[in-house]
Order: sequence, then C-alpha cells, then structure tokens
Amino acid sequence: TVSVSMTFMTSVKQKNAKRIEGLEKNVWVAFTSVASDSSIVNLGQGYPDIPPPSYVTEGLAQAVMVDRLNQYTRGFGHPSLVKALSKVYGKVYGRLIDPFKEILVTVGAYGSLMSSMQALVEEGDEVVIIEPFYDCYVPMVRMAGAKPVLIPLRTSSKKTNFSSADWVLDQDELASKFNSKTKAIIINTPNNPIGKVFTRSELQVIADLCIKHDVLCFSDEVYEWLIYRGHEHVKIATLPGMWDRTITIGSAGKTFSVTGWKLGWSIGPEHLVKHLQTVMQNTLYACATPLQEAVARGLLHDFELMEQPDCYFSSLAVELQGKRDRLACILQQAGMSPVVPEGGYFMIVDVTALNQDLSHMEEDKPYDYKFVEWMIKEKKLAAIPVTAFCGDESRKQFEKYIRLCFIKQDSTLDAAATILKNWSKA
Amino acid sequence: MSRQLHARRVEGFDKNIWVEFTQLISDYKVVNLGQGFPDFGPPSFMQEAYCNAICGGASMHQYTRAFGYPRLVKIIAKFFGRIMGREIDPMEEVLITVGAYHALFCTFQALVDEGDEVIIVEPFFDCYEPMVMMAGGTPVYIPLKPVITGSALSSADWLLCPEEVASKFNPRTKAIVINTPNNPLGKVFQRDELQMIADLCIKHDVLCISDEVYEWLTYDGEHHIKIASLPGMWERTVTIGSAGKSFCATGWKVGWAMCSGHILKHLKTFHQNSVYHCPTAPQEAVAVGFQREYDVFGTEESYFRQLPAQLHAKRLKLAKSLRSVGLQPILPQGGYFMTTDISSLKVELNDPDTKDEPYDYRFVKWLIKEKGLAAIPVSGFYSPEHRADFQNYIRFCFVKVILLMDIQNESEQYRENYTCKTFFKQIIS
Repeated sequence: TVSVSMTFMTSVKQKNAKRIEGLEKNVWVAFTSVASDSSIVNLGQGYPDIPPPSYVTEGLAQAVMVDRLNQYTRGFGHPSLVKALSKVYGKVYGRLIDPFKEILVTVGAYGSLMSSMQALVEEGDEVVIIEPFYDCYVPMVRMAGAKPVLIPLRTSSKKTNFSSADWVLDQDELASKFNSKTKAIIINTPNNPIGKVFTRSELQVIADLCIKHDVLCFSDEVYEWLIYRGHEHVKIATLPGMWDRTITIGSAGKTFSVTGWKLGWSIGPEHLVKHLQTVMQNTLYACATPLQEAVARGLLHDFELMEQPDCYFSSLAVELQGKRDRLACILQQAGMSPVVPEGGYFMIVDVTALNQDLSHMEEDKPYDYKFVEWMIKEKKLAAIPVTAFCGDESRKQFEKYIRLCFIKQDSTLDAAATILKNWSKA
Repeated sequence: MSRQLHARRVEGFDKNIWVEFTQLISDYKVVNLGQGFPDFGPPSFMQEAYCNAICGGASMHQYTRAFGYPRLVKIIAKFFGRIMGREIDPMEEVLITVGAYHALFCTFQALVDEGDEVIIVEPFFDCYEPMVMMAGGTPVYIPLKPVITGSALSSADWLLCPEEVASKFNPRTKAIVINTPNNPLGKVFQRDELQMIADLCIKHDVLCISDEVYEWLTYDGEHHIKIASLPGMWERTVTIGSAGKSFCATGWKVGWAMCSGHILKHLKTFHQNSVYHCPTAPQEAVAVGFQREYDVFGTEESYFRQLPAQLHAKRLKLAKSLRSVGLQPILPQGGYFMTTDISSLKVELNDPDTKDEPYDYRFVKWLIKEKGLAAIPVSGFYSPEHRADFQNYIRFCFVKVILLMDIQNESEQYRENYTCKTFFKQIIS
C-alpha cells in the first residue's frame, strides 16, 4: 500500500491553479542572487544605491511616531496621498483629477499593472506589448488569461544606434497587430530598458489605433520625471480622446529613489478606475499607511518647488544626465556601442564589437545571457541581458545587447570605469 | 466604450462591507467600535524598530528579496518552528505578503481553479468568498451554530456538526478555510474540532487554509492550536499570520504564509507576478519585533502575553455594558471582536434609504447616524443563502482604549465621547 505521504506528493488535487502554469521563471530572481556578492560591481537590477532625499525618509519616521498612522487607512489610497497626487498630476495633466474616484494607490507600479490587468483583461482578449518590454507585462497578461501580441521597436539599418530615439515602431506593423480581440496596448515611456521617450507624434499614432479599434491603453510612466535635456515626457492620456480609455501608472519608488517602499498609483477615468478599485478591495484591501503619509508629504514638498531647479523631480534628472554621459563615454572607450537613452536610468549597450567568444559556454541560452554570466564571473561587473525583455521571435534582434543601470553613486561608476578601462587587458 | 470594459472576474464584487462602512463612519462623528483596528498605537519598541530601520542605510529603502526580507523570514521560521516543534525552512516555507489579506489572495490564486470547491466555515471574514470566486472556485458553506438556541453565552457554544461538515466534502473539494480565533465570533477551535477537520482533509486529500491572524489573542486560559501541527497536516496546510494584528500595527500591512515548500512554490510564482516585492523597512522592523518576542516568549515581558491580558479587561467591560442595556453578547474566547444579539431591542428604523437591506445593516446605520456609535453588521459574514437567518447580530471591536475611559479623567481629545454605559443607555431610550 502507498503511504499517506506518498499519496499527497503525487496528488492531482494539490497541483497549482492553471493561471500560474509556466510562470515560475523570473530573470530577477536568478540575477539578483548572483549579484548579491559585494565584490561584484552591480549595474544590473534597477535600483539606486544613492540615498533618497532626506525629507522623504524623515517624513516616514515622523509618520511612524503618530499612533493613528500605524493603523488601516482608506483602501483605495490614504486621503492625504490621493489629494497630493491629485494636486501634482492635476498640474501636470492640466485637468482636475478627482482624488477619490480617479486615483488608486497600489503596491508599487507593479501592483497597478496587476490591478489593471485583473480588472480589465480576460480570456479571449489580446494585449499588444512593445518589445523590449519590462518583463512582467507578459506573465501578467497570461495570468489574466489573455494573449500577449508583441511588436518590436526597430532601428533603421543606416544609423549606428547612438540614441534611444533611433528605435521606432513600424506604423504598418503596429496597425497589423490590432484586431477585434485587442483589449489593450501597454506602453512604457520612458521605456525600460532602451530609455526611449515616445514623441507626441509617435503617441498619436498609437492613440489613433486605440480610438479606431476601441482599445484601452495602459501607460507605464514610472520614469516620467527622468527626462534628459532636449526631450519632453508626453502623457498619452492628454491626447484627444485618450483620457477616457487610458490608465496611467506612476511610482513613488522611482520618483523618490525609494524602490523598497513599493507604492505606486493608477490614474484614469472613474469608469475604469472603479474596476481597479474592486480588484484592490478583494486582493490587498489597503496599502501601508505610514509609507503613504510619507509619500504624500514628499509630493507636497516638491509640488511647491515644481519648475524650480530644487525640485527633486527635475534635480534628479540633472544629476543622472551626468552619470548617463559618463557611462556612455567609458563604454565607448571600452569598444562597446551604447545606446544613449533619452530618459529613464538604464542604458543598453551593443557588445558585438568586442567579439567575445562564448562558445565554451554550452548551454542553450541567448548570447546576452551567456555574456552577462561570463562578465559577472570574469570581470566582476553585473548587467541584465536584454533578451529577458523580449519574446522568442525577437531574440536575434536583441541578443547582442546588455542593460546597465546608472542610478549609482560615483564610487560605483568609478569601479565600473576601472573594469571597463582594463577590459582588453588579460 | 461599446464593449464590456471590465473582466468578468470582478463582476458582482464591487460592494464591500469595509468600504461601505468606513465611508459612513468617516462621514459621521462616531465612537468607532466597527472596523478591527486598535485606537491606540503599536508598542513603542516597534515604532523604535521602524525608525531605526529608516535610518539603517540606503538598502533599507530599496528592493529586498522578493519572497521576504531575509532577516524576517529567518526569525519567523525560527519563532514558529519552536512553537510547532519542527524545522521550518525560511527560504522555502515562508512567504512575506502585504498583510494577511494578500497572503489569502496569493493562496487562492495559486491553488484554486475553475471547478474547485472551497469549504468556508460561517460566519467568515468577508473576503474569503469573493477571493474564492475571483479564482474561479465555488464556495461551499458550513455554519457554526449555537448549541443552545437562544442563549449562546460564549463563542465556545457555537459548534460545527461533524456529519454536516463531512457531507460537504466531495471529489471537487480543493480546500477548506478555517479562521481561529474566529472573526467575528471569537471562537477558538478546540483540538478535537481541528482533528475532525484534519481527518476529513486527509481522507479527501484536501488543502487547509488556516487564517490565524488573532493567534495571540486568547482569553480565560484558552490555547491557540495550529492545525498544521496535527499529524499529516503540515504537508497540506497554508498557515496565515499577520504582523499588523500581532503588534497592533494594522497599517503596516506585513503578513505571511507558511507551508510546505511544494505548496509555497506556487504562492511564490503568483506573488512574483503580482506585487513581486513587499516594502523593506517595515519588514526589518517586524523582524526586530519577532526577535524580541522570541527572546522573551512566555515571560511577563512578552507583548504577545501582555496584549491579551490588556484586552481581557476591555472584553469583560464591553460585555457587561451590553448586558446592562438588555443585549446578549457572545463572550469571545479569542480575537478582537464581540458579537451581540440585538433581537431584544426593538427600534423604529425609519430610514427609507436602507429599507431593502438586512435588519442588522439598517440597525448599524441607524446606530452610526443617530447614536454616534459604530459597529459592523454580522450578516455580511454569512453566505447569501444563510444571511437572512442571521440578521440579529452586530459586531463590536473592543481593542479600543476608549472603552476604559471615564468622562472625568480623559484628555481633551476624548472629552466629547462617552463611557460605554452611557452609549448603550442612549440606545434603549
């Protein structure tokens, strides 16, 4: 006879739900463990090693000392936070945003993506995703039972790929991805990993298709404040006809360099946001109170300074521009071809010219995965392979690129510079 | 838009008792014995721990390990491992979530599919039902019933009928959800009751989801028993806990799911595709709290011992006040809440806005608007099929300092509030 313990291990009933089938792998889990070695210079995972503004962390300490702020707050968002968001974004959008009906606070922008998907996407739907894409979009679409439809950004063959602006969508190709099953398109501007900042006319092309096919737009704008000189962040929700069909997602973590706070928000019309709120009340109920209070205070602090150089929303971008330019320079000197981003804090770099022979690495993985593994081991420098951000069909297009994060202290960039300077030495 | 916007999975879930009542409560000036959170703060050692975490360097404000901050999962594994007498693997058998609410959600989404049945013991914390349904499952209800009809004086008098429980299990049954101590009744399940459930789980190869957020709050010498510690149950139980309830910091939203690795891996898959990480600094603070409690466990200094002792008196005081105005409270063996039978009070509820709602909803809304006192209607904790039979109960939360205030010696903040007795006197007049 089979013992009870054997029975349960092979039991059919203890199998996982179908919705998570095939979604166990995650590039971050694999690479963060590799890079947690402190002898490795980590330009991989996207988080700052520079401290957040002191008034932001002080705000959290103050909030924790108030008894009442340690208990549950309003489920859809702490009142002082949604009001602060309404104020800041009301100014940015140039419209009155109802803090209670048109805003939802979530566990990071990740939570907003999840809530949008669960609220508005289901089996039978298709969702258009632009490659390279932040890797969670595809599993989230699949978990909602829908089909991801991918379209890559492409470079024109003539240019030498110096800027993220050189990567564009083919308009006819894009139009071909829309059909009667298309429920939504996800856009990310500034884009992770390339750093592309979609122009108004590019967004208009997308908007026209959304309106023509009656499709929703989920606009991931977590890097909205990190725009470099000469470029402008445009919110697709401000284009005619788009407010009513767009959920715009933002992040406290990226805004204030506090990725470990995990607070984000969805902004959109009541008739869409109410469904996200339904998801929220049945999944998490509420986000943490002290963190929300602290973000509210931070937002109000910077609201007063908006358009001034002191405002963190712009001062961080100025600081990062210097780091961006420095990293691009040292990568070029090492013989690589960086794609200089118009926004965000990542840079992708083409490693083809290095001609690094990785044939000794047997595994059936794309070149960039092998390159990164080799680089971590041999050069003690960590990055993320760009094919982690695209589907199988686009692998060939992206497998010579790796992604580097430059929201790092000067000492970290100095260490990277040393490694890159000595690259060609044995 | 011309087509249906929302996904079918959110259909019918737009109403929510907390959203409804917290809105109402905030609109009126009330003494809030409704939603379950303390009106006092966490112990100072917790606030200090959080502040120390905030000043603890840049890494405290950046992403941590997705499945749980290492120091926290390690101390939780150690703490509960000692209680359960087993080695718990912190990396494989503990998952940190955004409150116990989120742990429940991850569990249902990871393990429940269309066609699965999930048994829910009534009265139940209201979120179990929508969560099961959002996962495509079918809830099957089994009610706790007062053994002595009409005069169930204690939550211990509310029992499951073993034959009735057994009849709910069939080949489609995926899981059973239990909550001990129970919200709203306060029932603390006894060993033989848990064994009865365990036997059925083993016999029918069913999972057990055990919501134990109030595990430290037991009174009158009652002991909390973890069903996962019964033979054959660790392998099939997801045990859910809450830092918010353990440390009176409900706004921190730190919870956990603890179970065998072969089940937890599925919760992890869902978690990494839904929120991915939980905030770092509060996890460090909770780790510090658990380390302290580990060191002083069982002694006078233990917060997990002091808190129930503190609430013991409030619980008795509330029961006494309720009886003094002719109500029948059910004295809870555990938890934050006291459920009270209101059938002896005949009140004219002339509010046309609520006329189609259950009696307890109407009564509570009247109590909020006319008497400045908030409670929660208990029929919201019952299935649609049984709701009508339980319209005469309302739930009070007694984790409130206000219950021990006397009008003479409180601060200005509370000056306009009344003692317990005064409120209830107002009700009958």
